[in-house]
Amino acid sequence: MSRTVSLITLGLFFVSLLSGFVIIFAYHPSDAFTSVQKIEFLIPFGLFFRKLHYFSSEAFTFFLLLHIFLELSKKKIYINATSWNYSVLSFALVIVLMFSGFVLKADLSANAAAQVAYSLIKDTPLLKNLLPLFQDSSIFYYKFFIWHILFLPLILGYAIYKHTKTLHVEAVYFSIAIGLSLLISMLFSMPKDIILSSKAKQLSSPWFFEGAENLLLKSFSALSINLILITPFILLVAYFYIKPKNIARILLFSWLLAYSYISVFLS
Amino acid sequence: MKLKNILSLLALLSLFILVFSIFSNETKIPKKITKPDQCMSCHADMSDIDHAHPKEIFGCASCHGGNKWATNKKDAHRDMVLNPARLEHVSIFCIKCHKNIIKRISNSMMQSQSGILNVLKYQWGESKELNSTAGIADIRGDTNISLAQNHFRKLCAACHINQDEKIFKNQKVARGGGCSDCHRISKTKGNLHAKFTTRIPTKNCLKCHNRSNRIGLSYEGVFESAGYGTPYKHGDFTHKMSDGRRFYYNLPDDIHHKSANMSCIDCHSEKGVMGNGKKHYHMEEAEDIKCKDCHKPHFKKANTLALTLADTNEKVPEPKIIAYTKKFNSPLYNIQKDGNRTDFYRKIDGKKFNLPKMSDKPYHTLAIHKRLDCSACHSLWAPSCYGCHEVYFENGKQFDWVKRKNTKGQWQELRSFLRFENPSLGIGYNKKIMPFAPGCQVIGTIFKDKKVEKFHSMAMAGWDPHTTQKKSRTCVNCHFNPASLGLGRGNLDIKDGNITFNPIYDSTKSGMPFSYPIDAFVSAKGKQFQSTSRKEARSFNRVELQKIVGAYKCIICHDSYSDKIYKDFNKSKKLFYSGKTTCLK
Amino acid sequence: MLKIVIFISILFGSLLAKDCASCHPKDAKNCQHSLHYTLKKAINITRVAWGIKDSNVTLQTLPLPKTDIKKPSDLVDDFLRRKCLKCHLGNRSSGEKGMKRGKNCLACHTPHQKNGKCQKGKISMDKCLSCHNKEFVGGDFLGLFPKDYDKSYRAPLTKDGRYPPKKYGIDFHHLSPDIHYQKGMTCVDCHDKNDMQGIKKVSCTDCHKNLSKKNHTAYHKKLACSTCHSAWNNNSYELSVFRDNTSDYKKWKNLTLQEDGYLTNFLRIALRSKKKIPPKMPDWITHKFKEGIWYSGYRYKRWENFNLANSKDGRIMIIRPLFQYRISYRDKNGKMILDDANKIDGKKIEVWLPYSPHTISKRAKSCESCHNNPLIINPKKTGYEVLDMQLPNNIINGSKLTKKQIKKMTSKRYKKIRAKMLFGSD
Repeated sequence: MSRTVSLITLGLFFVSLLSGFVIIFAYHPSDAFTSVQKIEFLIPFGLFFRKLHYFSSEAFTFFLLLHIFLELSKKKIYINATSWNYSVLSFALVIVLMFSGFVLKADLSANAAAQVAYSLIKDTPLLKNLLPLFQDSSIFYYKFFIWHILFLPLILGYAIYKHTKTLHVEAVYFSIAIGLSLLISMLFSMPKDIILSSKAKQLSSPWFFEGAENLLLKSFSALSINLILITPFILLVAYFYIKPKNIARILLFSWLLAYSYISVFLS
Repeated sequence: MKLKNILSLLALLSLFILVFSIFSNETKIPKKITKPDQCMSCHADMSDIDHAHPKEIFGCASCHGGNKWATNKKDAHRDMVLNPARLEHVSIFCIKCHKNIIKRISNSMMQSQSGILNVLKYQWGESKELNSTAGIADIRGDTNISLAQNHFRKLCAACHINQDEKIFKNQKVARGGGCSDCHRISKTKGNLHAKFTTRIPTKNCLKCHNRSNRIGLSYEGVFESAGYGTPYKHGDFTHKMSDGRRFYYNLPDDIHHKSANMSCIDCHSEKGVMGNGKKHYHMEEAEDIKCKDCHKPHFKKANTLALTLADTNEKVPEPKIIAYTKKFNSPLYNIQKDGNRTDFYRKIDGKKFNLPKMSDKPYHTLAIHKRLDCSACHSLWAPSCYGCHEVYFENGKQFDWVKRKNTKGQWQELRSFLRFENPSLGIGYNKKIMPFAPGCQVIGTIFKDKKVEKFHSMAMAGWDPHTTQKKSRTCVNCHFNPASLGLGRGNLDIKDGNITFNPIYDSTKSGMPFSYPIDAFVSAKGKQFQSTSRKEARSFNRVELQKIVGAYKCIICHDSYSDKIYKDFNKSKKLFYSGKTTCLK
Repeated sequence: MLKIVIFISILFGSLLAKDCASCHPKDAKNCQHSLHYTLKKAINITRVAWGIKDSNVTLQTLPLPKTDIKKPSDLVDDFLRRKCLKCHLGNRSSGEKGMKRGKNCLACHTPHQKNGKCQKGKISMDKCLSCHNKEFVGGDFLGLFPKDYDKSYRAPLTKDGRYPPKKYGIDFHHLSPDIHYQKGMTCVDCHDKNDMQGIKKVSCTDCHKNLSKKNHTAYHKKLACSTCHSAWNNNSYELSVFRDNTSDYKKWKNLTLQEDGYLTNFLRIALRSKKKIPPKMPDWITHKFKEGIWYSGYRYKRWENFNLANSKDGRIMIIRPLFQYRISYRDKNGKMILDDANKIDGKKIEVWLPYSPHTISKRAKSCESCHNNPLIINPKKTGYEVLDMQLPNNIINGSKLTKKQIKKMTSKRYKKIRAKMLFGSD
């Protein structure tokens, strides 16, 4: 079970990678939103690949979480410390990738999400120095684009390789991954891009960012929110070293509960 | 390769083909990509809104929003706005080009209605502050609604420029819609897009300016009648106003209307109407045009704004030397100098007229009349509605135009009588003498908690009634007419050097809560009975009354400016007082 | 015995003239020639105006209305009977408050009290006012000026929040009353028996004999006293009348008060009723109901305007329109037989009458009221119907001021005298 999930997760990563690869050709960071809309409406099979990319990525994230849950519920850890640390790193990278992907669609909600991230970074010591990355709006999407299609996937690929020792996926799991993605994209429609309009409803960040946004709206300080966001990763790293695993498990679980509560009910 | 792998690959392939076919059906690729936006694939035959916004360049989505790349109706129309000219939308769509105007109109009085609101609150004694810029936006959230505000919400606020057109039961009198309140001249019908214009017809102004001081109606010579609906024709009432409830008389229309069929916009500049960006307390501060701007013009070279406006207008020829308003220096691009001639171009159709200039005859130059506003002499009549009996039923229900739903409290308006002849005179908001009429003489009855409360607030208001005639009122019509002097209707005379006046109207017996005649602004002794809505405005005082009526003694004989005594009036006066004239001999 | 007869008669509200005549034969005979009895003037003026030539009938000889209607003259008798002649000695009431009275002699000579007591002494003003009210002379003596008809003129509300009380079918503006009224005099103090029976007309100078001022003796000898001394007058411009035989009542919902008590009550019931109520109105002479409702409405009313004319007896008097008619008639099939007819043979259906407004004030009008009155000095048509209807046309019992008279009013002599008056009083 645990192995199946981990292999499907890896398969989904590749589906996401490949479908993203197709989209790259139609995406223009200089006119990001228009090109996204063109992909959706005008370019043959553009919507198909966009949906595939979207749902495979979402499914990847979901399976990744499932994978983590399953691994944590085991009594023993079967990998060494380096491998474990790389696994936490790749989890973090997935979240960042997901976020940058969300921003790249360049609609109003993407802007809002970027705005949230910007506000978080702006007021946090140390992170403040990263601001120039976001500031020059004329090449705003270029920066995200390069990171999203090149550096982040490369680093993630490397991290996954260090974590699994191999990048080989058996055809059957790959088929399951791609079949699953196709099925979801056939059954569901992705959230609509939000266009500049006085009628647009309240804008929202990607789902995993909802909690941070709510906290920001409740005027929590940026530093504290960042700490909250970084907590699970620290806990995950610490998990390897802590002896009574249950303490770490309880801590992780309670963080998850708290963050879910913040995400859903605090808005 | 294992069989399992081959099978799964096959399964994968078939699934892929299945999904692929579904997707290729779902994604209907248009046969061609349309420009400027994908809306044209369905709406290519939509007509243009005006010549400044051709659809070949603007498309639909740049104004209406929606998804201009979308190839299906549902996606294309998501979050689209039907009327982007509404003020809550303009700041998203129109602002790209019309930033300046949007700021101005947002601060303008037609948007905020602050003039109405604050004068109402002041006159009803709810506020001591006559000069305030608080408008409709500032009271939107109020929960503790005072009587004056209630009145404003249920009656006045219907004319808010950004009112929702759809909520009017009688669509004939629907108002609002932001920019389209004024600029739209036809409604969308099928493929015909609503037409927008800067050649705004008077009809659009009349949507609102037909009550209270009724400027729009008076300009066209329409006076709200006493409600008989006579004469009866074809078994029905006649002379019905567009709202179908009120009736009118035809009276002499304004000379500008009569001689050249001018529209409101022929005089009222865009700055005067849409504001100059500042928030103003009262109408006259926002207003730009003065009679002299046209009839005693000073010319300058046309600036870029003038050229733009003329170009948008389409009918008025390209301006070179034009008149400017004195107050805001805004270009009057339809008043053009051509050699020695001054041409006036009618904005609606560009027809050329010769513009008569103000003469230098004694009646315009003599110092004795330098305190007179043009309207004091040249306005023939003013709509005067005496007694505004407001009845308020707290248990009733009436539409709240701010909340846009029915709320508690209902108003009924009654009146005493109407007059149009011999408007009163007084000192107006510009400290000059101008016509006055009731505005407003509120005698209120409040039905509240099974109790009846009464209040009254009597005020006269001065304004240019827009009933301008070429020929002025006669000398006697002001100097010895009690109604014009503000005394009311009755018998005016001079006895032992004092003004005597016997009024006709008996307010006390007629049930009014005050003793002075309802049509009296001031007593013969100069005591002002009724308040005004401006700090500067007042009735004539005792000295002024004495002077005006005193002048009549000479006017009896010298009743025309062509009379020789006005050639050098000061000299004539000296001669008279030294007894060297033949007067009275 | 007589007292009992009177008492019983009052109880039944009627008294045959012959009962009184048995003791007062001379008065009864005189009365039969009086206008109160015949209403000759009002009837014939209206009939002539509506196109009946040489009309000379009385209330008693008024023909029954025609049934085949083609022109205004076919309608006039119906109009008179059902709209105007509510006030004749044989009619007790037409539904308005304040207009109830006895019949015949008792119309004037009783108070209409419930206890039935006969009034001794002079006839009370209420009796006179039960007919002489609204826009006619009588109401103005008290300072009453009927308000406009529309519902929105029912103001100001009283202290307890009710509509102002109605009398004679309408409510009133209160203007300055006659000085004689203010001093406590009533109608019969001037209008004595001789005046009533048409033996000798009463005149101001019967009492006010010493007129020494120059105004009276030199300048204004030809003027009626009321011309200068009336404070205001009742001008009701243009009366549109409409006989409607269809039951189209809804549009009148704001105009139920038309100075006609019967009509007000009828409309009130008809507008509320779910059943269709046939349009019926009584003939006030025969007291029989007939088909059709007479509606009416003015164009506008003024109290400050007036115009002058030479009366038949050579005096300059104030005139007013009674009335400027516009006539409509719709039959029961909805066909407009007469649609806003206001002319007969190219001439307007219009009557102006010299009259004495009973709004006398001690202080006369200023000279300018007439000498600078644009309606008198410069009676030019403006081309605007509403304004032009203030200019007299078709004056009965009088004639327009001549050009010479008008010229005299603005002569240098007048100006000099007036200027001297004003400067002299400096």
